[in-house]
Order: sequence, then structure tokens, then C-alpha cells
Amino acid sequence: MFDQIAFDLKKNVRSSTNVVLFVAFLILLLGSFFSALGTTDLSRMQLTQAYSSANVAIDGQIKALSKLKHPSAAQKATLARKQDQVHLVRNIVMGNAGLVSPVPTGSINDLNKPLLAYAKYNLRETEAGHAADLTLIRDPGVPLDPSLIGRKKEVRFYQYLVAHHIAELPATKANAPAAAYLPFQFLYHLSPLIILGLFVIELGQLFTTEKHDGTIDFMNNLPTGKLKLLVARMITFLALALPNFALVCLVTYLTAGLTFGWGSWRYPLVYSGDGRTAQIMTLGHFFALLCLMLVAAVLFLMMLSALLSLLSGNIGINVIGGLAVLVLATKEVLSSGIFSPLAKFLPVGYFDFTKVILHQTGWPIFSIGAGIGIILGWALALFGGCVVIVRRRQRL
Amino acid sequence: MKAQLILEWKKQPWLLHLFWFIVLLAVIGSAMVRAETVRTRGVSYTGATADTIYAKPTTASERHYQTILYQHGVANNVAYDKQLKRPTSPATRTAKKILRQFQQRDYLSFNRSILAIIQDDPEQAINDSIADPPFDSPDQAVTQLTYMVKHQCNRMLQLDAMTAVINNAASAFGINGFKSNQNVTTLNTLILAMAMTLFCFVFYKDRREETDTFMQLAPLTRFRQALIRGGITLGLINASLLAASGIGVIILTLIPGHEFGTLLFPTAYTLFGKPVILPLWQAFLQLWLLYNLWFLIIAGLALCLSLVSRNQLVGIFVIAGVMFADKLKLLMLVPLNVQRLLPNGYLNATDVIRHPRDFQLIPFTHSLTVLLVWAAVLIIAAWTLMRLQTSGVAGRFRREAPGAHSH
Amino acid sequence: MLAVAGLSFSFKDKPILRDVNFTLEDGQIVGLVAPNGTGKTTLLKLLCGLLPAPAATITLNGLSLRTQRSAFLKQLFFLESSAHLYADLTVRDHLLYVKRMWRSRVDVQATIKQLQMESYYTKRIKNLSLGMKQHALLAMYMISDAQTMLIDEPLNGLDPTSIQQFEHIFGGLRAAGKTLLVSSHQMDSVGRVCDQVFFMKDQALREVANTGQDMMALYTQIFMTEAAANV
Repeated sequence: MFDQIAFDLKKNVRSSTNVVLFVAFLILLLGSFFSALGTTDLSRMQLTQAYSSANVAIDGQIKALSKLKHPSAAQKATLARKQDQVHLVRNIVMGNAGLVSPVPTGSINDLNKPLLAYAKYNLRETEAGHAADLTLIRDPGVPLDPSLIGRKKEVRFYQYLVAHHIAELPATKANAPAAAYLPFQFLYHLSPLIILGLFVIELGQLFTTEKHDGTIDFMNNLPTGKLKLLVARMITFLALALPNFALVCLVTYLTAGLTFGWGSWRYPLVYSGDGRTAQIMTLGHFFALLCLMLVAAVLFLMMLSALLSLLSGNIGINVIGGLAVLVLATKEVLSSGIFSPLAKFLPVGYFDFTKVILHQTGWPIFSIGAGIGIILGWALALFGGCVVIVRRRQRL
Repeated sequence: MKAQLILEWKKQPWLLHLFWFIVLLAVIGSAMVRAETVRTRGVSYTGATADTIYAKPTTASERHYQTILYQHGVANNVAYDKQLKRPTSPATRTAKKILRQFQQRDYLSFNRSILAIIQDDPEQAINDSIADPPFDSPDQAVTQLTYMVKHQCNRMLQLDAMTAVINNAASAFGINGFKSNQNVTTLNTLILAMAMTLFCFVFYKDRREETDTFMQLAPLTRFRQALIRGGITLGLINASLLAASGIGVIILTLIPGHEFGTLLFPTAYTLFGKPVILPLWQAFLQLWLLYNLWFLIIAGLALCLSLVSRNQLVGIFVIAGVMFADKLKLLMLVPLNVQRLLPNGYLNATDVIRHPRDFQLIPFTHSLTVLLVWAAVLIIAAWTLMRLQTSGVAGRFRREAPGAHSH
Repeated sequence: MLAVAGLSFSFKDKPILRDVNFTLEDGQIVGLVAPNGTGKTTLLKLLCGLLPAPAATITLNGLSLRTQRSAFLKQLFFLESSAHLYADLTVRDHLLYVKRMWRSRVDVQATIKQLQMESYYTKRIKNLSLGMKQHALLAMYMISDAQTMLIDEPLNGLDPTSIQQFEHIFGGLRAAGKTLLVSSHQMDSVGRVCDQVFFMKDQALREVANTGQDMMALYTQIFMTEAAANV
């Protein structure tokens, strides 16, 4: 078996496909890096504008309510609330002004604390049923969530920032420090399905090359079990593809770090697993889970590719089969009436890692651990299919 | 030559052509159907009874909707005349005339009447919803209606803009100017991907399968062979596109309540601050030219890469990197003034043909020239590389040993 | 007539040919013999321009390979092996292509009949056995009707009946005035068919007329004696 693995590795390690895929992954992950070079980062300015817009909006509402000649009790209550809000938002604006001025004054928490205070106010008011009267700050690049859980998440987020003295990183920040750069790519810029798509192409090439080149007969005539040959091919793929991707991530991390700084893996992402409570996940934890899920998905796709290669040596069929599975993993398909009830039992329901990890999918899912289990379970089933075919046919 | 044509025809990847044809049919067809449902208009009338009328995405339904609008217009004018206790006013007479022309499908006279109204009082025309979409402004309305009248076109602009099949086809490709296809980027990407995979397949085939020696020994230059190979592929890609679009147009036209529309339909855009008319036939022709120039660029790239590499995937990825350099943010590495000289800036059909935003100052001929120059450069580069390889100067082979002597 | 002058070639740092000169007259079969790896296929590739030799002068009936390539190739046919045929095309596709490209008047059906290929004429190359592919290859040579044919080990994989058939056809082509340069390891066949033999050794060609001598003995004398001495 080791001889076969070594032989397979030798055949494929110098393939130009490895280099091409390395470059392709790198270009995808460095997209934001290229954008950031030579352009001014406007994210802080956009955030400042968001604070200012909220302030202006509340001021306008106060003016309109003040002009009413005979306000009702409800309108008076709203006016009182608006006056509380404008006070809180002005603290935010002032705290931010200290940080963005040409000579920054104050500390990070001079902004974080007012933001936390406003978040807590919004939570209280939402719980009291006054959500309609709130003027929420629209963070650029982040969809606004006016629900109760949205408010809880905000409070939890700013509590963490205050406790750890960490500055908020805007989602639109192109020159994010290294620790945030990679997770941000997956969170805001790059669908994991595209990364998986490249793996599908690599798999298609690797698993059909023997049949295409006509050397499959030599393989089939080797005095060894054919399943061992297939497993050796799988190990070869994993030995080439995963380190290749890991290297890409490392190069990306180093490139971002040397240019934009290193940042902290403790930066928080906030999510809600049950829809009722808000929890914090650090970037490091998020990225680790992302890698785990990526490996599981790649394993599944590898088994699929292996199975398809036993049925057809055509690289087109192999790649299209893999890509078709990825199409099933899109939001449009999984949220549709037909697939939605089944989504949590299918591996494709867990391919959009970022949404799954942060529990932001539009379709029902189990936990992350269960999701990984489902992916691997299906991978095992596909492997079982391979075993049946190979044992019956006694050839690849 | 004929023999080479026949051989290259047989060598084509027919399954791949079929796959892309099906994909195009699905994407273009669904875009055309979606274009029909972009806007369902409704209007409510209160009075003796509250009445809400919606326009469904068929010409018949839109006609019915418009008829109701004009009938209510006439009724309002008559009621107003009665209220003011005055004889039938010119406005009422005009409204009745327009209604009659519309009902008789005398759109030529209808267009003349509308044109007169807008020219007379543009603001009032907007208030009265006469200069409704598809017009962006009274000026544009005047320009388009004048075109219709001048070319004796017996079609109604609003009807066709909302429901004509050929207009929806134009929307699918992002060149209508009225309804936009949110997925036109996806369609463009798919068309480019189709060209990339097909040209890479045909140009890499001989090297991959080691039949290149056979081809090199045929008494026909390699460049001519490549031209024939590329030409057939280009023809088949065009046939796929035409068939996929044509089938959608034919099927929708045959569905009751639909009308084909007219290829003379005058879409409008702004260039250098002035409104310019672009009839649909011209927009389609520009689109066809644009696509074929992209195809030539991709073919040139694929041919050049196939001369230096045997790995088809490398070719596809390199071409994808070049064509989508903008989306991959690779262009950020290039100075802005150089970016405008690269073909990547002209990949969006809607931008190049309809001239929104930055493209308001870039005429179509400019875009065409940039793409044409790049296509020519790449094809000449391929020719040069072939010549160098044939003469042995390309250094792929070592030269004869020194110290030669007779045998 | 194929005329070669000043032909030299080396691959990386290994010299293959050094200033080789020869001519091939019309209407003869010339064998090309050498141990494996000496450069027989390389020579054939050089003669049709698949490998570059800018310093050499190669002409075919007065047409220069370098400056009149298309016209040169119309008078020549070479296909290294049946592995270089289009797997998804049929034998018929290949034959018709060759007929049209070389503007040949040779009747395809007659050739098919002569080579007894009727049963697989319309089959795809990938579905043929090695022997069938070799027949398809020979058919292509015949249909090209090229003045000069360079053939690389045509008898590989053939049964004795087919070998006889091929030799008979080579004789027929010679009688029609064609020139064949045939590389081969089968010395008995070389002895039966060839008018002269080029033995390739030490980057040169040694021309030996076929006077009916024992070719295997000659091969042994030229190549194996030295090899034995070197052991």
C-alpha cells in the first residue's frame, strides 16, 4: 500500500495542476488584498457616517415631534425616548471623533462603552415592545437585524469588545489585519462553494487521468487489491491538495500580516445557536471550525469523485457531477420548498460553512458537530458504493 | 482545406457543445421569462366601486390595462368638463382621440398624438402619466417617439417595452435599457466560460492526445489549421447562442397573448450628455459583435497557451484569470490609465452598449477598437509563435552538436 | 528524390547525428537499422521537419523543407505510430482525410479490400486491436500516394501473414516508383524487402547495398561485436 501511495504521489506531485490550483486559490484569497493596495480604506469613514446618519435621523425625528401642537401620550413617550437616544448616539459620535481625529485621543473603550450603552438601551426598548421607535446604526457591509436576538447579539458583542479593549473591525475593511483577513474573506467576500469548486476540478483531473491516458489497464493488472489502489489515490489527493491549500492560507496570512499588521485571533464574532441567546466565538475558533468543515466537505467530494470515476473516465462528467452537488448547496436551492425539510440530513446543507458556523442559514440544520458527522456519514456511504463496485468488477 | 474542415468538424467536443447549449437555453430562457414578470403594474380606481387593475406580463393584458387607463382618462376629462359646465374641452377631445387610435391599433397616429402632447407641455405629460416608463424623461420620450414616427413604426412603445418578446430577450442580455436583468453578469460569465472551455478543448486536443505530429505533417500550415479549428468552434458557439435565444423567443411569441414586438424598437441612452437612439436590431448587432470579439480574444489566448503547454487546465485557469482579472481584483495591481486599455474593462455588455456611468463618455467604437486590437495582437502572437516553433528558433529543441564531419 | 546534406542533431548533450548526407532515389526501399535509442525515429522526424535542423539542407524533388514546407509535405507521408491516431474517429475518417489532404487519386475502397479491412473500416480507432491499427496506418500511407514514405517499425505487432502482406504492399509501392525509408528491427524482413540498408552508428549512416547477404550477421558484425568487446 505504501509503495502504491509513493508511486501515485510521484506521478502527481509534479503536475502543473498543483501549481495552477495554488495560484488560483491564492488569487481568490488575496482579492481584498489587491483591492486594498493603493486605495484608501474607507471603512472607518463609512462607520463614522453611519453614526452621524443615526444622529441626524434622531435629531430630525425630535424636531418633527417637537413641532406637534397637540401630541398624544404615545407621541410624548416617543419624544422622550428619542431624547434619550440622541444623548446616547452623541456619546458615540464624540467617542468616535476622538479616535478618527488626526491626533487620536482617548482609548478604544471611549467608543466601545457608548456603543455598548446604546446597544443595551436598544435591547431594553425592544424587550419593552418599542422596537419601532428605535434608530439602529447601520454598520456598512452587515445586514441590519432589527429582531430581539439581533439586539442581544449587539450587546454581547460590545460587552466583549469593552472587556478585551478591542476596536471594532468594520466588515468593509479591506486592509484587515492578518488574523481577521482570512476569516473576513470567507465571511464577507468569498463563498466557500467557490473554494470547493476548485477542489472538484482538482479531483476530476486526478481521478480520471488513468482512464484518460490509457494507463488504467496497467493499474488493473497490478497484483494488488483494486480497492487499495483507489484508497492510495485518495490518500495521494489528500496529501497533495490539503497541504497545498494550507500553504495558500499561510501565504495569505503572511502577506496580509506583513502589510496590514497581525491583529488578534481573539476578535469576536457573535452568533446565536438557539435563536434566543447570543454567544461569542473568536476568529480563531471560527477559522478552526471552518477548516474542519472544509476538510469534511473535501472528503465527501473526494468520495463522490472516486465513485464517478469508477462509472466514467470522462473528466467532464466527473467535474460536472461535483459542481452539480455544489449547486445543490446554494441558498436558493436549500431554501426552496422541496429541499428545505431535507437540508439538515444532506451534506450539502453544511457546505456553506460560514453560515452554518454562525447559524445564519436560511434552512434548518443540526449543530456543527452533527453537520460534520452527516457529511462524513455520507462520505462513508459513497465509499461503500466504491467498495461494492470495485469488489464486483475487480477493476477500477 | 475542405478535408481539414471536415476533420475539425468531427473533432469538435460535441457533448461539451450540447452541455453549454442546454445551460444557455436554461439561463437565457429563464431570464426572458423573469423579464416578463419584472413589473406587474396596478392601478386603483375609487368611485362608485373600488377597482384595482393589474397588468399581467402579456401584450394582451397590458393592452387591456392601457385601455382601462385611457378610458378612465377620458371619463375624468368628461366629468371635469361637466363639473365646469363647459363644452368638450380640447383635452377631452385629445383624450378621446388617443383612446380611439389605441383601440384601433393605429399606433402610428397614436405616437404622433402623444408626441404632440409631450412637446406641447412636457410636465403635464408626466403628471398625466403619458410620458410614463419606458421614458426616463420628456426629452427621451420625444426622441424615441420621433424615431417611431419617422420610421413609420406601427408599434406602441409602452406596450412593447413592458411585454414584447424581443424586448424581453434584450432584457435577458442587459441591453434593453428599461427592464434590467439582475443575472446578466451570470449570463455573461457563463458565455465567457463556454468560450474558454470550448476553445481550450479544441486547441489543446492534439497536444493532449499526441495527434499533433499527424497534424503537423499535413500539407497545410499550422496557422491555417488553427484558423479552421477556431473558425468552426466560433461558428458552433454562435449557433448555440442564436439557437438558445431563438428558441426562447419563438416559444414565447407562440404563447397566446404575446407579441414579438419590433426590432426597430428605439432604446435610448446618453452619450456625452446627449440622448442617443439605439434600435434593438442595432443593439443586438453590437452585442453579437462584442461577444465575437471576446471569443476571438479567448481563442487567441487558448491558441497561444496550447503552443507552450500541454495541460488544458492550465490554459483554462490562465484564461479565466485574465478574463476575470477585474472580479479577482487583479486589475488593482495595474495603473488606472492602463486598465482602460485592457479588454477586461469591456466585458460587461450592458456597460458597453448602454453607456451608463463611466461609459457615458466611451463610445461603442472605442470599446470595439480596444477589443479588436487585442484579438489581433493575440492571433498575431500565435502566428509568430508557430513560425518560431516551425523554424526551430523557439528553443524547444537543442541544436546540432559542434564539430560536424561527413559520414 | 530525397536529398539530405549537412544534417546534424543532438538532444540535450547527447549527439545523435553528425553531418549526415545521403540521397534516396525514386523507386527504392531503404531500410534504417540501429539498436534501440540510437536515433532512428529522430532521423525520420528530422527529415519531415518535426525536429529542427536549420543548418541542414533537405529537399524533396527540388522542394526545400524549410522554405516550401507545405509543398514538401504533399510529397511525403510519415506517421510515427498508430498511437497517434484520433481515438474517437473511425478508420474511414482518417483515410478520407488523408486522401483529400494529399489530393490522392488512390481508391479508398480498393485499398480497404486489399488490406482486408472491411470488417473494421467504420470502427473507431479506440476499439481496434494493435494489428488493426497497424493496418489502418498502412492504409493511410497507401492512400496518401506520397512520393516518399517514412515508415517507423511498421511490422511491430503483426502476425506472419500480415508481415507477408505488408512486405508485398511495400514491393508494390516500390514498383509504382515510390521511395520508402523503413526503420525496422526485423532483419529477415529487411533482407527480403530492402534495396539498401542504412546502418546508423556513431552519429553517421553506413550505406550497404542489399546483395542477398545475411542481414542479421551484418547487424551482429556492426553493432554487437563492438558491444561484446565493450562488455
